[in-house]
Amino acid sequence: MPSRRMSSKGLRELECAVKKQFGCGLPEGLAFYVKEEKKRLKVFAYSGSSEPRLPFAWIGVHFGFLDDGVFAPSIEGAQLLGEGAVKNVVEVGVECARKYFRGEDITLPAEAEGIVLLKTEGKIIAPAQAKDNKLKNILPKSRHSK
Amino acid sequence: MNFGADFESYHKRLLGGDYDEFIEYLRARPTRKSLRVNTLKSNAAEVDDFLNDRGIDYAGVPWCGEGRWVPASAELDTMEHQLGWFFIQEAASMAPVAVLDPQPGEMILDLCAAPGAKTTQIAAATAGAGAVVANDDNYTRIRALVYNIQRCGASNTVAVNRDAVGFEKQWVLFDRVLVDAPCSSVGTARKNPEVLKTWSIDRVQKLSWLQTKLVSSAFKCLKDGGSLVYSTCTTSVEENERVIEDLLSKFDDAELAPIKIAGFAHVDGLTKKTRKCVRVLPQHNDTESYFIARVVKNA
Repeated sequence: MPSRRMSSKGLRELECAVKKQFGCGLPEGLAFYVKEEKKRLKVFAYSGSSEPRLPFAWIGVHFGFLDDGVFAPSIEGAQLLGEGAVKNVVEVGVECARKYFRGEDITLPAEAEGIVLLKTEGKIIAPAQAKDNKLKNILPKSRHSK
Repeated sequence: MNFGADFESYHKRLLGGDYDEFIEYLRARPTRKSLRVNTLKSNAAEVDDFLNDRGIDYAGVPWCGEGRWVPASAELDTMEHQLGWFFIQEAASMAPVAVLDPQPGEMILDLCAAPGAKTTQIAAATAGAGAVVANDDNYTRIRALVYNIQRCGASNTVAVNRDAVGFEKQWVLFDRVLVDAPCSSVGTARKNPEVLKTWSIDRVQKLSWLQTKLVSSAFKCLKDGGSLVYSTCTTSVEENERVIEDLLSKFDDAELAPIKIAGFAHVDGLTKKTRKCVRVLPQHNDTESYFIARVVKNA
């Protein structure tokens, strides 16, 4: 259960990580909430106009994980960063993207290392991990298609 | 398909001349497959292109601009589904949120939300602004709700695991409340005939008791001038008209409001006080059975 609104310090750390990795700022109009999970921060993005005044089991969308200054976005986190991202964006064809969503690793089309954002047909769709000349699949199994 | 003597005699009395066609649909006609374009992540043109590219014939659902009927054989477990472009949702079940008519910037409560088809439909209608509180009192069903909130990008939505009966004790008021109540689910028998095995008058009456509690709690959560939509996917008077009559009798400021939903063939509620409600049988639109009522809280 998300426990708290992200502190100003945490927000600065998140902004810094996103800027460093993807060359963009945080998406506007969002409040960020966090929950500690296995020694890293699970970050949630909430666009609601009022802060919920009742205990909640989940808020907004899971934006990504922040771990020691490195930000790993979720699928929706990657999509929210979207067009603003100018660094570590890897463009692939739609059939490669489909292969990725089936849970497979795919060929890395250009040099990159670490967490990248996958782009296809002009849209950022998901995160991946560039390693050893491959884009390693980091999608949760629940988000794999057939 | 075996309907049981009690089920048959109850529905013969209830439906009269509509009974034979009703049974024929339950027995021999599986539900049409449909999806709803999720406008938080995509748009109608993009999803229509996706369907065309895959050679999937589709038709618009008349009462929901984002609804598309597709063939039963359409393979929809695709990247686009996981990207949240659409929600596989039964067509009649798109109607309650159309009746609720959520507006951007509003506070909306979906009291019995899991697994989230209507929640995400509400979130899309509010254009990701305002706030949607999606409650379900079953913790294991919250996981499915959260999965769909995430996949559909419903960033203005909060999932809550509280008792639906007594929700007014959370001391939060809403512009609109949806109660898509747990019910005997006769309307889903076309896709899930198993529901008929558990049908009994005794069960219907127990569900009716629960539903009256739910809708009373929901009404207490409304702001003055707010509106509540009560819906079920079942047929019994006890779970539908009687629940609304009970609500109207308990609250002087509750008023049944007319429902206008273009292209959605239906009949009126079956009792004198519930004529403004909407009752749908499978033969009306080739969908599940549904019941929808809209109640406003007079200021």
